[in-house]
Amino acid sequence: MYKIIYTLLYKEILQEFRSKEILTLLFIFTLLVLIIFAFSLGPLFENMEVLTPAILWITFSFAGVLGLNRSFHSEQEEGALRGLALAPVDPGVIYLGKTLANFLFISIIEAIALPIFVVLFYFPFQRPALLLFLVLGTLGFSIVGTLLAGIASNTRRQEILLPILLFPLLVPLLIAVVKGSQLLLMNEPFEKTLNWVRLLIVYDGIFFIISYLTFGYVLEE
Amino acid sequence: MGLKVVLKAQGLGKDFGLKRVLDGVELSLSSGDLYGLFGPNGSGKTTLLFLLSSLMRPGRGKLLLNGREVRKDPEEFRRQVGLLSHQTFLYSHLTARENLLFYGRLYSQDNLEKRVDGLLERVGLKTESGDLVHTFSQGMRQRLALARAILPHPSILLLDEPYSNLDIQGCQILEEILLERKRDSILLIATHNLDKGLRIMNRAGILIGGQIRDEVDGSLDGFKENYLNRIENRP
Repeated sequence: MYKIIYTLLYKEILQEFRSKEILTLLFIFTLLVLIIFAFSLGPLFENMEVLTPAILWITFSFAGVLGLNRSFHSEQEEGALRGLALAPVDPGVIYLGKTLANFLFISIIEAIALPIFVVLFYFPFQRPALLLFLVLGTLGFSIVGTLLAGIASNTRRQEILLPILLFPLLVPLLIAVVKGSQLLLMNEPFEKTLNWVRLLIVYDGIFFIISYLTFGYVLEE
Repeated sequence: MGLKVVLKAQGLGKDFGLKRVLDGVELSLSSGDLYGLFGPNGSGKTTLLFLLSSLMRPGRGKLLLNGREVRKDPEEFRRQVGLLSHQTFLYSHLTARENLLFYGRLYSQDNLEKRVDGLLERVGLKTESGDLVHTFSQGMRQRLALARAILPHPSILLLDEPYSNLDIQGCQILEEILLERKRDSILLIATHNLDKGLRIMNRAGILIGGQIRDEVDGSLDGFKENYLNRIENRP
């Protein structure tokens, strides 16, 4: 199983390294949105600790949707999704490979965008626990997003359908990461954010199990 | 010589919305069969191949491999199936060699590198093995797709219009590969190209009205006339 996951992940990385489709698109979009937010809010806006996590996650969510819309593009070009479906591999493993690739690509963009965000918004990134929210949030986004991107890739209106399906399901996740991050930025103790951390872990776990078990139906004609 | 394989379709049916594409297809294939499935455009040949490969779930009927229902162990069944479709299933930003290595790893193939190099040479793409697929012509992609389909040594090889985009040399390679594999495998070719198809086949049938009709076994004399009559007289 690990060999297959490695094979799928290596293929995704190799393709992205060659085409640079997802990372370039995500980086330009993220940068533009952050700059627009920075200019429109100005440097001395109030309630920074309330606003900045929301700005960050709005930016990452919209950029992430763009990336997810492209994530099955290589499988659509020459029907390779059927090639994967035909392979003697558990569909859940194929889902896992795709999810890890999406998680990796979104994380790379976050790693590049975060320093820019810190500078533009004077974001006090002093609490390491913020990283925990970032990782759990990105993981949940990739888990739900990969399943829905797979479903949407079988339709003609993929670009429209994916955000319509995805954003309602992301509401609990977005509330948890934004609220948790706000508490940390208000210098509250980490213990006060634990309920949000638990919610994120449960959200990621439930959606992972559902997606892993149902991805076979996405591959089926 | 491998074990004899028997693939049976019993009453296979498939609807797309209100349109009935396949209506109780009965088909029995065994190792050594080189079966030609003929039919006009839109007769359901591709749909039947998708059902026979387990890519698509039938609306009615069942598919049996050596008497055992395929859906009970789809992974084991897929290990034995190769499909050459209208689409090549290739990744355009990978090289020819990387594509075959990728699929070979999904099938957990032994001696993969050697097998891949041998196949690339067999389909005449040895010198282009390091080129990205998006630089390939349609014919080269079709050759590579053929190599992808036979890579896991399938005992059931399903080919949908395999001659399309192939040049004379490509067609010759294809036919040589089919004749090499005939003894140990089930080979099913769906095409509407009668002249090319009938040269090498030992069984044939016409898919029309959602069912297979006028099956012939052994001598295919008179099959072409029969087929043309069917096409002309269809409702």
